[in-house]
Amino acid sequence: MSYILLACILMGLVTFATRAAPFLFGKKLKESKTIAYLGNLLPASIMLILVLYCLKDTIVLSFPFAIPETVAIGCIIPLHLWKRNSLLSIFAGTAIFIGLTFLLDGVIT
Amino acid sequence: MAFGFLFCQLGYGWYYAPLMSLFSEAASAQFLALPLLSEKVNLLELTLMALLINLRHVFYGLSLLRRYSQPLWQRIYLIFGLTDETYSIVTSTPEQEHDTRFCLMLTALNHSYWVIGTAIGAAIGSRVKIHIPGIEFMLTCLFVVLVIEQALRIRKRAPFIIALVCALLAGFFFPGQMLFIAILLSAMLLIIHQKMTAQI
Repeated sequence: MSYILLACILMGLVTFATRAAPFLFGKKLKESKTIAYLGNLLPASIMLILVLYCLKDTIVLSFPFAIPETVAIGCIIPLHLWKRNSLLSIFAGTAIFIGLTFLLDGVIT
Repeated sequence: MAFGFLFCQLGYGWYYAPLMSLFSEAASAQFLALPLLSEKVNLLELTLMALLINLRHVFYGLSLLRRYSQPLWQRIYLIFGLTDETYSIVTSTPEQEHDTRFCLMLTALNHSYWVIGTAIGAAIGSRVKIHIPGIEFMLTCLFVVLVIEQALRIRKRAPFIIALVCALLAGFFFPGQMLFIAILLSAMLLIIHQKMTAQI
């Protein structure tokens, strides 16, 4: 079986397992404050880690000094707080990033 | 839609995107899977990461134990489709006259919406044949948006400080395994943080 098909099946099984757990061991889980705490806050940590992971190969100390990344993210934070429209924020951020990368490439050559 | 579109950038067949949505219907876990799949991490790692991000689902069922007491095959589908969205709608509407039918319809509607959205996104993504340099920045923007949404939801600083420290440490000491180590480390630090604040 291919890697990606197996990945799809495993994801499905894990997701179902977490959702079915309370119906199988409800009482024990109700008492666990740690799982409640992790369930509530860990996704927030993971999302920030994912942002940093995506940025890990960014060049900060030489040209273009991470300018496209900084400007793009700096723009979509207020944009998203204002409009709360995920698709708009994602497309705007990507457009700014691609535009600035292109412009700065023009400056150096 | 965003998931389907981004999935196509990985280079797997576009049809795997709606297939994954059909099997798991878990937006955050599927978005987390994108960078993992692009690096072809081993499947155990993928499973563990998906488990950690899905931990919150363990609690959704608890408040629905009584309401979700349908015959087994119906209950299995209801549990399968107990997403963030379905959970928040079900728990904010009172029990209906035909409650089973209402919950099943709602779950099926959300599920089909998610699968169809993914398929449309994937169809668009697979049409874009020329590679646009910088298009991968979409994924970064998506995660920035998700961080903002999480911050608005929990209104706490600790998870973000912990994430920042863990990501920097993991990136510095284990650059090849950054994602995995950073997530495990922040789960451990969050547990320690919880134990410490609980004692005061």
